[in-house]
Amino acid sequence: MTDHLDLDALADLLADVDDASRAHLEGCPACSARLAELDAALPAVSASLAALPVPPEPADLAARLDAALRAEARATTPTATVVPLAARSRTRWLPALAGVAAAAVVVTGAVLVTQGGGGGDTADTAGTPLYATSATGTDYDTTTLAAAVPSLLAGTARPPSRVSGGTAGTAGSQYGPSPEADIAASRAVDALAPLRTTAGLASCLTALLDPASDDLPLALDYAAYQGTPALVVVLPGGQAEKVDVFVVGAGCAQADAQLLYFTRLPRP
Amino acid sequence: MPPVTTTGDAEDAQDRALLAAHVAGDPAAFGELVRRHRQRMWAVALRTLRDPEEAADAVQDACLSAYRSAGTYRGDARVTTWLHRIVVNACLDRTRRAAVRPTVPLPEQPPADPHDRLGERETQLEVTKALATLPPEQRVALVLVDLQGLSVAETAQVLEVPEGTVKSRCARGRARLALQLGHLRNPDAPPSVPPGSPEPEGGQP
Repeated sequence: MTDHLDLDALADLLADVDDASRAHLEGCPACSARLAELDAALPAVSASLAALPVPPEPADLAARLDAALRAEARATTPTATVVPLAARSRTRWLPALAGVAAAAVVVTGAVLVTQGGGGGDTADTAGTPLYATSATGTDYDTTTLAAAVPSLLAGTARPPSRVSGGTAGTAGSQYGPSPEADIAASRAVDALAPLRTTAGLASCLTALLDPASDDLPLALDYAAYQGTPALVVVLPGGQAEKVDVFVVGAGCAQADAQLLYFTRLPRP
Repeated sequence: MPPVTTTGDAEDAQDRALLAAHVAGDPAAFGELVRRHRQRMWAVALRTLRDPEEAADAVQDACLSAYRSAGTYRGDARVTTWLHRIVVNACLDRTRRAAVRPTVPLPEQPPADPHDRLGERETQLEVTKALATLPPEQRVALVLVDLQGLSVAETAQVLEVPEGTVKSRCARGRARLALQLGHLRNPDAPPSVPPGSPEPEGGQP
């Protein structure tokens, strides 16, 4: 007698894709019985699967897909049609970026990017704050990111501090980050080095901003998302009382938006 | 009955027009195509990957992939077949890249008290958990055929395999689910006894 038929072989017989095993069945009542039992059981399995309800979509799925496609469209649009408008809105924030990129890694706090950082459009009063840049290195998830948006916009975001149990040391002091947070933050920022250059950041923001508008970024945070180094970009949302929060990877510097996460929130 | 998720000819004609408009440069066409098919893409991704965040990422990957490769659609299959293929590939890429759900080999013993389970309606949670233990190829085949209601022929087009392969994957997947859900009294093959051997081999091959 040939070897008894395992479950896969019985299934293939029922699916009419295996003739070789039929020879075994003729001499084996045990396997014939198992085949009959399986044949009777399979329709109930199909019925159980068919009875599963259509799973409801997450509420932000549509917006997230729209944002990803919008970023993709802008990244792949021929530059000839985009440059004039983009150049106009870029000059408002591009000179200010030079100051940010040249600065040493800002780990302890936020920098308010201001107009008049050097060259470009100087029509505004020197020192007018445009938006806040932080480098907290925080490893966000969807919940902590949403909670952090108010402090990102206000420029008060700080890296997460580690509280070492029981010691009276300065680790986790509210006045500065712990050594661990320093290392984590600088590691996250180093992975995002392409986005710290003027050209890289400008390339990324151009991909995310709508060139037809004069939108400015509201806040940036060089941080991480679910373990991946990521730049958080807070932009005005479609309506005045909303903000769009984009989380992009280092690839955004090459105009590949590398959108890791997107959400639209009420403006705090 | 599974929801009818395959499109009729009129719907498919509209889908083809949208895709052509997108390739020709219409900035709004692709977004409209996504709106029409987002729910079925989500259903396939969630039932295949089980984790909602992974599924949302896979749908996003699939939309971007479809956006970029729209120029390669040759029109020999329905647009929904083409989209299903892209979503399935995005899901399978994720299962390969990270060990999302390790597949469980056929258990050595049947579940305890199979007689108590027969005739009971198992919970949806038990079914979705059991589905997640299948090898990805079998899981995808059942998601398309038993959940989405695609024909074997259309599923074969989506997966780019022969129809016989689809039937085998579906049957093997359903058999494993029957085992997991306790529908079988005699799941194990009797031990094989080769002629002339003093001891039985025992257990499943």
